[in-house]
Amino acid sequence: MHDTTCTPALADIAAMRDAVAAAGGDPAILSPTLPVDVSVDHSLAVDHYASTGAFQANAKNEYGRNAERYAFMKWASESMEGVRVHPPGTGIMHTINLEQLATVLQVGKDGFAHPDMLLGTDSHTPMINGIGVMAWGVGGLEAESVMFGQSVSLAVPKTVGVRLIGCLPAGSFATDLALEVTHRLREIGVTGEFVEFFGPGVATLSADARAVVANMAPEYGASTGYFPVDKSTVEYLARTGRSATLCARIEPAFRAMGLWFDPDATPAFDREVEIDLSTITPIIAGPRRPQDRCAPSGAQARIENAIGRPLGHTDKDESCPPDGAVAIAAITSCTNTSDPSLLVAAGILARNAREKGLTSAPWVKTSLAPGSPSARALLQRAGLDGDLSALGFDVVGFGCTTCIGNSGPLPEAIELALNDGKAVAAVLSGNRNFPGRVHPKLDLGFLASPPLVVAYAVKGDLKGDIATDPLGVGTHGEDIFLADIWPDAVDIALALTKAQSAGDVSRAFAGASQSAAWNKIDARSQSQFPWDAASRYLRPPKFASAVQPTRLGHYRAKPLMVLGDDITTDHISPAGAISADSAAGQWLVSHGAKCDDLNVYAAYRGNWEVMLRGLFTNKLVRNHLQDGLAPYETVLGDGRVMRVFEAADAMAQRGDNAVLFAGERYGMGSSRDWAAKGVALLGVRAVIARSFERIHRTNLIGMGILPLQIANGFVPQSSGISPLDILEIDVPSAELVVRKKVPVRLSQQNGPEQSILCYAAVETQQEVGILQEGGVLSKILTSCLG
Amino acid sequence: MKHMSINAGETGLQVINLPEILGKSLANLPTVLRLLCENHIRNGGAVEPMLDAMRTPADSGFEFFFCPIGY
Repeated sequence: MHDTTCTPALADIAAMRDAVAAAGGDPAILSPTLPVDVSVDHSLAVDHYASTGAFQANAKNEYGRNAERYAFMKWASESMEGVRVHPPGTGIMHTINLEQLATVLQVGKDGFAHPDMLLGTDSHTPMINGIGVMAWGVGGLEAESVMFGQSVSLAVPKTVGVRLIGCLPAGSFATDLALEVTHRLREIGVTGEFVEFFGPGVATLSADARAVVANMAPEYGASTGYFPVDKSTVEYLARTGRSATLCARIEPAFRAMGLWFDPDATPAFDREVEIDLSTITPIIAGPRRPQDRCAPSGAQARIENAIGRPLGHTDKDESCPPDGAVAIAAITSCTNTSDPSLLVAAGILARNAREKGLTSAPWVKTSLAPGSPSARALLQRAGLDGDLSALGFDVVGFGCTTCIGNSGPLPEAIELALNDGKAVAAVLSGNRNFPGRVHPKLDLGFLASPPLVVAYAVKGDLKGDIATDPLGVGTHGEDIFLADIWPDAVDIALALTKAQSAGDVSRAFAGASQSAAWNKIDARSQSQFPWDAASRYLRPPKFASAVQPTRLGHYRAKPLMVLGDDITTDHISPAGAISADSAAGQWLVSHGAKCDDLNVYAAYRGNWEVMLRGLFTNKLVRNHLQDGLAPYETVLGDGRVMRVFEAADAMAQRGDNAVLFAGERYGMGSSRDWAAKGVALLGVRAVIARSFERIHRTNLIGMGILPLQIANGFVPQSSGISPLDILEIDVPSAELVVRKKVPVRLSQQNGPEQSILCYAAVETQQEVGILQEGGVLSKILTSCLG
Repeated sequence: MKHMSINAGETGLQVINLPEILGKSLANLPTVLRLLCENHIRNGGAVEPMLDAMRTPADSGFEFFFCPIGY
């Protein structure tokens, strides 16, 4: 788990412990039965950059902003057996898992050996599939269930085989392959399916490169992006400092179990896709979805299409950002910083640019945030850290940063450009670029390999074609082109040979783990958490403090909102900055917070008051219940327009049941359980959508909310649903079965009564039981209370 | 649980004998399904329904019970 998904989960457990204690039970009974690793990686913001002091300054801010949450996590690690916290600075959870925690083969004291497997509360958990560890992302609620000994029940998944042939050409990187895979698999649709890579091309990829491709499984929509275990896996383990004993055991054990990779094998997948690695070229993806890959020459057209106008001419003043400027250039994310060759490639490009007399454009916010603290030693030994620093790519920390929206404030020049109506974009080596994801004010973002990120920082804009236009003027007045500074494959290989050391990983991790700042945090071991009634960060969640009744039944309901397609969990429950004029900001200020330092939503997932007020506040949310509504508004049957959470409260006070309508792919994006918890707090009994993204569907069920998938041609956002319409839903608890057909009668004020054919998007008997018991937390609490 | 002893490195280990349990199905199964089977067996799940499902996976109604094991 990471620090923003663990906080709500641990807060749930703390509240349930209180409930157990209040009932006369032993609160300590609520301790995980499986090992739980928590990585504090999601709270580092890029406030300072392009300076050698940025690392320390950002770390100081992080501790200052999150002291209360961190003390809570430390309490959990002291008071709950099996919970281990990796403090800030130890890296990103998926990189830690790759480099430190995963064993590929688990051997018990009894001599029994099994393939290593895990579940993670982050959608990018499948990154570990790159080294043959079966894993996928689950919602926080599902994780809580697993922590307390429940298995995850799943129907036999559909499998998709991606047959790889050929090998990547020089100059192309794992990032390019990951973006191509994302595009190809999104084209055919693999939501919830298990993707596995096979064929001779697999053997040509390093385990590091495989992890890049596996990481983006949620972007291609799959549960997994699995690469079987082979010699490259074992070589990776040895290179990252795993024991010789472990490395020696893996091949014989996996061969004996029939799990060792055979490049000539042709398993029977439900579907197959073939990708010829030799055709992969440097590409980018954007400006609003990871699957929209294009050649760099297509960036301008993509932006113009997105903003609906041509980009303007470049200003004569070269110190001002032009229309189409790069606002942020960030080497960030587990996705593309865990592969040392990508970091070295970025460093070599920086070195080549510096030698030619180039530097980054002055308006670009540059940053380097590797997923592993060992990256610093790698770049230093390769002699590339100074070159990256010269172009503004100083290490700003070891955490998720820009990739998850913690990009910090924009440069003043970019703020002015936005005020002037110019289009500006982020270029990042991250995994997502949904509008507002990287920064609330940025609607445009391109995903790219680390060397391309540096190149775009130098060019300063996304106009024309970075491959053929000059990047700048060299020391001798000559035009410098991308080809002049693009990293050579031989140089990358030489640098890696020179720089990699098996001892780096464990040494850097151990050093970061002995954090003086973390050790100073005062947290005592006690079975019940001492809640502070004045806290702005931690409040006992209502839904975990008592057993909740089931939301199933036969009832009449009214629509709370009608949403369209591609509503992400970011849209439902934001993670980014809180503005002072928002409902959440106003609540925080009224409780003593400073207007200019409200922190981000992700930091408040232990406080339901803030999270409730943040629901559906993303500026791109459109509520089709009535024209002209602001994103955070809805309308009641009496015509009153209110904030969504206030309207839900008004409906509840009148005894009205609420349901929510949505289009295709409802709940795509991050695995955040607050997107379901928040909707549960709104009192919603069912979400009726054309389709659901996998993790969010399970999170809804985890909160006791019935996902109803529309099975006929009904399209909610174009059906003229009004706040006066009445729905009748008939799903008695005792009659719910897997994929039950559920007719929903819709009585519209301005139209005939119609039946919306739906089925319960409930895939297993275990999920049926969860809904019948009012959600995962109720189920756990019920079992504890006897 | 059907398991087998192997020599792995300097020591012997016990592993689940997937090739024997899955028989001819093994070659056709993607590795992800083999892994789910291994996990299902080690967690004490019923083997026969799983084998039936592996022969005809589509809409078999079979459910894996997946749970990582921590040592």
